Order: sequence, then C-alpha cells, then structure tokens
Amino acid sequence: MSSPDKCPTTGCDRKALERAFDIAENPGSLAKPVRTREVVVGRADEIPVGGRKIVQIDRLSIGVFHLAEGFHAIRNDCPHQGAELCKGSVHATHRPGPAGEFTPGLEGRVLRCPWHGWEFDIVTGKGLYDARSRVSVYEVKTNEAGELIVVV
Amino acid sequence: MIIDCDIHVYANAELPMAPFLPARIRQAVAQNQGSAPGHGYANPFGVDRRDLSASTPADVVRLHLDPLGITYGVLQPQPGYAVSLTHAIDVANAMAQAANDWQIANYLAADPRFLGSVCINMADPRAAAAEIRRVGGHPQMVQVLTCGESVHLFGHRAYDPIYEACCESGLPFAVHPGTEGSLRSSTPVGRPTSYFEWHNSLPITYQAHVGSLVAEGTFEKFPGLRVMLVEGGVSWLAPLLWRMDKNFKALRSTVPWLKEAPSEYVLRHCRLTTQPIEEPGDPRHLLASYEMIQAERTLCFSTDFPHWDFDTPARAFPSILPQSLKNRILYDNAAELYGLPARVETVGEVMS
Repeated sequence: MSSPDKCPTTGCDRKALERAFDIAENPGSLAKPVRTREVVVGRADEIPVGGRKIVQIDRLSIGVFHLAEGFHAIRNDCPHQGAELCKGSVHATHRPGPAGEFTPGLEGRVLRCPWHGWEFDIVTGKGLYDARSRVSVYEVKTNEAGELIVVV
Repeated sequence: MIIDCDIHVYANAELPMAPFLPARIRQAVAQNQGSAPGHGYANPFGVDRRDLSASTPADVVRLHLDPLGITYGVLQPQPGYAVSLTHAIDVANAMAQAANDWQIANYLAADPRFLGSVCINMADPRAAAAEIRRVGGHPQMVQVLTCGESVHLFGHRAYDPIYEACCESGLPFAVHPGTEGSLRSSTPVGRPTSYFEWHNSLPITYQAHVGSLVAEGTFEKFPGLRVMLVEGGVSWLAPLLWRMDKNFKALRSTVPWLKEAPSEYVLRHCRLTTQPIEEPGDPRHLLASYEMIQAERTLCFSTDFPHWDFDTPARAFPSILPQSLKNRILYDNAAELYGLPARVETVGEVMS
C-alpha cells in the first residue's frame, strides 16, 4: 500500500519515521558536514566492543561507542531536555512493520536516553521516532599507532 | 525559586521501613500480608532514570535538590502512597503509619527542603482520618496522599471522614497515579495491551475522580478542601470543565447541592502538577491549554524524580511561556497551596 509522503489532511510528514530506518540501513546517504579538526581521544584498544568512552573536546561532550562494526561518535546532548544522552543504555529496537508484528532490528546500535528513553541510532544520530530529530554524529578514525581520532 | 511537587523516595535495604512498623504487625508484613494487587504493566526499560541512583536523602540532595536549585521538594514515598490497595486492611493501616514515621525520621529530619506526604489507607477512612490527625501537624508534612486507583470514586461519602481531617489539619488531599488497573481495568472499557497504552490511559482516572468530587458536592461539604492532582496530565481538564458547565445548565436539578458552575469548584479547589509535561508540536498549544485552566493559579511544577519521564525545570517549558507565568508554576502556586513562604526576589548589585 502506498501513501503520499505528506498527509493530505494534516500536512504531516508520514515518512519521517520510516526514513529514520531507511537512513539507518544506508548511513552513507546522509549529507556529511564538513569537519576537519582531528582530535586524539584515546586508544582504540581501551574501549571493548559494546563499550563506550565519553570525551570532552573543548565545550563539546561526545560519546565514542565501539559497536560490532566499528567506532562511532555521537554528541552527548539529548535534543529533548538536554540529558547526557551517552549515559543511556545501548540495545536493539523493533522495526516499524505491520500491526501485530515484532521485528527486532539495529541490534547493539540503539542508544536510549537515560532520562526519557527516547531512541537514537548511534550510527546516524537520527531519532528512531522521527528522522527530523537528530543528534550530531562525528567521524571516528584510528591511526597506525592505534590511537582513536574524532573529527570535529 | 522552585518547588518540586513530586519526588519519589524509597524504603530500601539502607533505609528499611520495618523498624517503623509496630512490633505486633512485623510478622504479618514478613508473611506478605501487606501485598496488594498489581496492574501487570511494567516499563520494559525500567521506571527509573538510568543516569543516576538515589537511595538516601543525601543522594536526593546531591543529585537533585542542589544541582537543580529546588527550594522545596514534596515527597511521594514508596511504599506508602499506595497502601490503600493492600488487601489486609489492618496491615495497610500499620504500613501507612510506618511510611509516615519513616519519612519523618529519614527525610524530613535530614533537610528542611524535604516536605512530606501523610500516606493513608483509603480502605479504612476512620483510621485514615486518625492518621492524618496523628502526623498531619508535623511542620514539614504538607499534604495527604493516596493512589489514583480506588474502590470508590473520590466523591463517595465513605471518604468524608478523610476530607474532614484534611480540612481540620489544613492539608490538601493529593493523588498520585501508577496503580491504575490494579482493582479493575485502567479504562472502563477494557484492558490496555502495552505499558505504552496503559500509561496513556492514566488521565481517565483523574477525570473520573474530579467529576465525582464535583458532582457529589464534596467541595460544598468541605469548603476548605484542596485537591492536588499529581502527574495526571493537564490538557484534559479544560474540556471536562466545559462539559460539566454545559450539562449543569440542564441537569443542575439532579445535583441541587451545587451552588456554582462546576468549573468554579474545580478551579478553586483543585491543583495539578506539570510533569509529564505535554509537548504539542506547536508550543502555543501548550500555552493555550494553560490559559484555559487558569494555570497562573492552578498549575504547580513537578519533576517526578527519579523516574524515566522526569522533567527538568530548565528545559521543560517552551520559551514562549511568559516568565511571570513560569514563576507562578515553578513556585508561587505550590507555595500558596502548601502554605510555604512567599517568593523572595533578590536583587544584587556589585559594589567596587
């Protein structure tokens, strides 16, 4: 069943939720902001898979997460009421689907805010309730010395 | 200045309630005779915030009162607020007493910013009234507290002794949600199938209680009674007032003890807390809903610390809310309800 992207009655963006999950499947589709400052935030081997490190770069607090597929960095600031997002729990969610179906998805990369439990994709920064809600994410690299570098 | 009308504190291994139970009742509680029916809905992600753990008064001061600048915080003790649902009535009476003595000894004594709630067992109104008279005079006890789920709607005359004691002690009667669905479905037409749906249904109970308090003439019988509706939402109230006022024109003769429009009673006698603050896509709609219920005198700030749907005073309100209204909500309304000191405006000037 196809539905128009905008509800003809209310004008609301009907695809906003699905888009968050589409982007999660294809994070490369996200426009990347131009950032050039490379900051060493520690060693790659100090964060085990499933772990995280919260680092302060000037006034910016960032959580560096070691997911199964690699390192990802996301701003430690929930867009809702300003909680320290990166102190939340990491887990899976359920994908949007037909009534009555539970389809687990995004295992190990969903960050749940410690205050109100809002869900964000660590990889894309998108709110998993509306793609228009987002948290800044940052590129993470490692160098030959095994150092972890965040680009801000 | 901020008054937080909803702070949860818990009896736990560090601060057990057992020593406050009368010796004769400890065995019955140990035998689980203090049990109450549950509603079966649990937040799958936990009901407490995940970024902190507060188990003592010192924790609540360090993690909440101090950093958020809370001038006074009204406690909602657990267990305690829901003893009305305990099956064994005598055990529930003892648990209410213990919850109150536990609060006084552990929290009210620890910091003058902590304000207590007199927990009562609604299943035994005479005992509840006696408990209000026993501890209601404590200078830091500011309200009487029970849970939203109840055997009768709150306007039922069975509860009159409780309201009489509230008026005599000068304490508002407060209700806190969380137990809805324990005795019967949390909606009158069937059981929700998820915590999400259950949580959404909570204001239904409050609408029913407010409608009952008005229709039964409770506020005519007890002109000094004040009711504090904690954590039950806000925006549902205006349509209820309009519906009652409209029906009053045709059906007044069926409730001839009412001398004023129903909305007059509610706006004069009832107060509500903000959390979980409603977040319409257009913040002007929140402001409009506040105007409809005269929020400048009816609405009081609350955080629900340390629960998952906590609101922080710095970020909860949209910026379009006028500062004068925010001041009323953050402090003045609760100060008037609880008889706390009026706002002190401090103006400083640096002299060189």
